[in-house]
Amino acid sequence: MTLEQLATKVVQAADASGVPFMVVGALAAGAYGVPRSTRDVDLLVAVNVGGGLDAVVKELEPWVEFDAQVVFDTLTWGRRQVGRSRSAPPYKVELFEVFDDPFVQAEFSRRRQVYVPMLKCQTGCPRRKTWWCKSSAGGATKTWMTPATCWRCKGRRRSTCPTSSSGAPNTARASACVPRWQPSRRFEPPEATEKRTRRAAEWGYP
Amino acid sequence: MPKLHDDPAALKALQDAIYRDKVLRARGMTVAERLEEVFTQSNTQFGMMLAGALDRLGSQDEALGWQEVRRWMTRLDSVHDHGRYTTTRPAAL
Repeated sequence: MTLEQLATKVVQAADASGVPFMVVGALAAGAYGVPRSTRDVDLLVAVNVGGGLDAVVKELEPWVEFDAQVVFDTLTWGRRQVGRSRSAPPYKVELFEVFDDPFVQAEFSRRRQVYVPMLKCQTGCPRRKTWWCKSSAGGATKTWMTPATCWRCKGRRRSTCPTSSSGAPNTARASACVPRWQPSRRFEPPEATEKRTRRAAEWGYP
Repeated sequence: MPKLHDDPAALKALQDAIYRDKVLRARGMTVAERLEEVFTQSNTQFGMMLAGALDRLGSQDEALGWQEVRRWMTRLDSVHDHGRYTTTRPAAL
């Protein structure tokens, strides 16, 4: 079974079990970043549906052999179920449950349906990160909000927002709207941040 | 003729150039094309692993080769996951 066949089975199984989900890991990274090879299909599964992870596991039983023991991520304490395809090549299937982190929940709620021709089906995919704004720049109240609710941005794109950190004519107000940290960079070491910033500047990345 | 790997700066420049090409190439592709690339690369990678396993075993038996690949993957996983996952959740959570 090739990776795309396995991915199709996983997506179909999640669909059949009626559990909200989105693909994460290399497949999601490949959709938005630089494609790289992978050895697993990662799925983030909602917990607010009866059965949740177990329903998907049951649906995948004929093709994937799951570990009897569920494990917990020691950083997030999120639940993870690991399986390996019964046929060769030995691809892995990893199912993660959405845990009670506000950012992860917001990320999951932003997911969108993307049609993947190679899978011949639609699948939930993470939506590109939006930026977040502080409700009061320099003031006592600094709560994060999306541009849709920010009175300064009024839902405009960051590049055209008068108070955004890029292309802002007034630099004193530029810090009012800044992009929020990205989940993939949460545990990024400082030297990696510096390297990424330098490279982006050299190559003219946004 | 000087060797490239003797000059760290030149080697770094080459690495950066390769990475830059990868990024620019990815930017020129659609989402579907990039996903297709992930599948293609992964399948190719596993094909190469099978070839490596068969070569090491000195056999032409694919089933045996996949068994060896599976063993490698299991070993890699156990190293990678060591300390990152646990089977019990703290009672406080």
